[in-house]
Amino acid sequence: MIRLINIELFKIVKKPRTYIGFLAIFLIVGALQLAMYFEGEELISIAIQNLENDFRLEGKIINANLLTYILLNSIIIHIPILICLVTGDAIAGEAATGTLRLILQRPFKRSEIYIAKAITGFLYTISLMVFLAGMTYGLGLLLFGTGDLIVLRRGVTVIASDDVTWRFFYAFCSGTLSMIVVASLSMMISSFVNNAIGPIVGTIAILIGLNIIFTLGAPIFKDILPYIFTSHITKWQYFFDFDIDKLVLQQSVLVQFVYILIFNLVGIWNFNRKDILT
Amino acid sequence: MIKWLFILLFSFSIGLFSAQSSDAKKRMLNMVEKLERVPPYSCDVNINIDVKFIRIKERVGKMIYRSPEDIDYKIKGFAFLPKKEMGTISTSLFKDDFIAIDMGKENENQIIKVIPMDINSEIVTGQFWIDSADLVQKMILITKEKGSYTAEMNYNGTLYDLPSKIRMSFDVKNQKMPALLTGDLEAYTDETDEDEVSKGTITIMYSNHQF
Amino acid sequence: MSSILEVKNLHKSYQNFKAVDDISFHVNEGDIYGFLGPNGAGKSTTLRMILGLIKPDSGLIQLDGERVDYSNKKYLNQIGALIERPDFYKNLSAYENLKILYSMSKLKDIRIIDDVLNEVDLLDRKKDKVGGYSQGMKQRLGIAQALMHQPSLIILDEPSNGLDPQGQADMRKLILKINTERRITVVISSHILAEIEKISNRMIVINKGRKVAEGEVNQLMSSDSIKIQIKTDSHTAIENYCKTHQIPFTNENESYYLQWEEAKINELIKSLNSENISLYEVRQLKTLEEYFLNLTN
Repeated sequence: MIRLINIELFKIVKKPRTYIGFLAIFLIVGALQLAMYFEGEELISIAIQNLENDFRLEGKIINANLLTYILLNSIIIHIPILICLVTGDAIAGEAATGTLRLILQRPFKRSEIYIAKAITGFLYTISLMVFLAGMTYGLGLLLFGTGDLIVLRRGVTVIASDDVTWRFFYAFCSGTLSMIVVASLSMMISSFVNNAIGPIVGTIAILIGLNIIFTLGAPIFKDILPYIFTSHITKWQYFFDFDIDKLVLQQSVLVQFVYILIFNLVGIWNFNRKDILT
Repeated sequence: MIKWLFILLFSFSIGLFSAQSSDAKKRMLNMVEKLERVPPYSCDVNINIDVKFIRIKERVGKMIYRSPEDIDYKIKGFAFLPKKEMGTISTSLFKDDFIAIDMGKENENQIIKVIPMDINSEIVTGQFWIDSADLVQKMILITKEKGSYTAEMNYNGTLYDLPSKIRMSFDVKNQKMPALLTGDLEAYTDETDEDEVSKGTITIMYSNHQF
Repeated sequence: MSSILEVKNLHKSYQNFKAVDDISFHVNEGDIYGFLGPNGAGKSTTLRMILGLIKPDSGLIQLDGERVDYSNKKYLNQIGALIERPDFYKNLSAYENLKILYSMSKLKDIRIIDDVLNEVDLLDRKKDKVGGYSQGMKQRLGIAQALMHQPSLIILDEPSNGLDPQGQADMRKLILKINTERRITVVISSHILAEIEKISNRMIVINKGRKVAEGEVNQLMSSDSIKIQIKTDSHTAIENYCKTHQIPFTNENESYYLQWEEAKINELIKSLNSENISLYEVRQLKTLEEYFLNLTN
């Protein structure tokens, strides 16, 4: 298995599209942080003008922590697209180019090949998230320095700067887990089709569709919401509550692990029975 | 006879009332004078907030007092502080002419109601609870546009009769941010009453005064 | 001579279309075994089933006497293959492509990569990206990857596709060299009779998923071997007869076409009559070559 993973990693490292994700993050983070540097005060004052009516606000609002928090929201849509570019290509892309035929003639079970590709996809996902974390916090620190984190979610929560690091660690872990679910979904779709575009479009369509349905808040969906994986993509925000609801987060982790398992099992099952016609 | 008795009684009452008002006014003016005698100083502060939708731990820092209208804070991290206008408003009450009415006593504190003569004044009325040592234990200010402020003071013998603790209460409008701004896309939340107004409290403890 | 590859009663259907319909054949060790049929006959499908790329609906495939088990891919250590186009990772060099496949094998000595590249005359181009290779170079690289893990059997599906006459001649030379010098059994498929005829010693002819003929090339191509057209309404009986006597046949337009020796036609007719198979018409048609040329025109 290690051999197969090394081979997949080699292929990913050699593919130019692998670096699109890192470049995109670099540009998104850079652009947003520069925008905040020049226009941030004005933008923030719009958000907090109600607070300024009742209080005098003392301290730096715009800092590395706030920007990292804001940019972590990019895992809702932007990061999944970048992940799918690579994981969606894992099987469908090779089927389209004919190289799938080449590697399936080797003495390895199809499930082993699938698992190696999946693990490589997960490693890519993790590296993308680590880069996001490093880039946002590093550049944020350089431009704005550190400070307390003000979270405008369900009211206002102010978290001291020395109380923030561990929260971000767990938040990024949670976000990474959500992105691994996305990677698993795109790989599963990749096993069903023979073109690389299908998994990318399919995964994003599912994400957007589910997000829209469940954000609308129709009563009919209320009970099933906790079991839909897209509702867990923003669960990382719970790590920035004053009193962290551990039960909700534990359930979230469990649900997401179940989805990762299901998506990968379905993908392996389909890949095993699939006739390779390309 | 009874008529003259009544007129006498009425005149006596008005005289008494006037004497009491002028006493109350004198007392208020003495307090303002006392406040104006306070030189610039700095002290350590501990700030706690109790507002329904704000979650923040105690903040520590320094306060630099130059005048009632000029107070600066140097706080480690981010803090919610009383609006500067609170100090300005409380002193502006006494800038122009005013009526002070003795409202009696409550728990050994004299209650004095202050009404500004200027019809355009931001403050509609203020009420002060003053103890026998001429220390303001509590005050309520009602403004035209900014709601009401209540401040309760505690003292521990600091120079210039400065309070060791002030607990300020005021009306606060509940904050509801657009989801696009907060990234909070979860539906089915328990939040209700978008424009609910609630009472907010800032408690500041002062110590280690340096003049 | 022992059988290295045995295929028995292989079936594969896609919805209502029978891609492979009861194909059986065997390949002896040392053979260059031709797999002949027009486009769409089922050649690639059959070869992909041997490699586990497609799962048969039913049938048996044996390699060196052992049943091929798709759940355990170890048997693929013995087979090298080039199926349809020679597809590689275009952004990688020839060396890098082979190194990937080397890593997926049991090989221990990485110098084998240079050896096979040298054998197919690509050693001096090993560092060039495959995306810039010509069709002929890609085909040769395809052979190289099939040879690299030193298999006992190589399957080549239309290896001369897209090659000019010189390229085709070079490819034939290479295949013969592989067979004679390395003693590797070769199965080579093509829709061009001449290509098979030139290098194969044994062959099978298939059409519309069914076997039409099988045997030694020189025997099949001789005029001794002919096609007989039979019209009958005893459909089940004649089909069972052919299966029992292992006579290759096809059924087209309500006629049965059997491959038979010209000298033994009377024997065949007597035998059919004795089985109470009614014969309305029996006609001697063409040689296998003529029959196949008609199929492909």
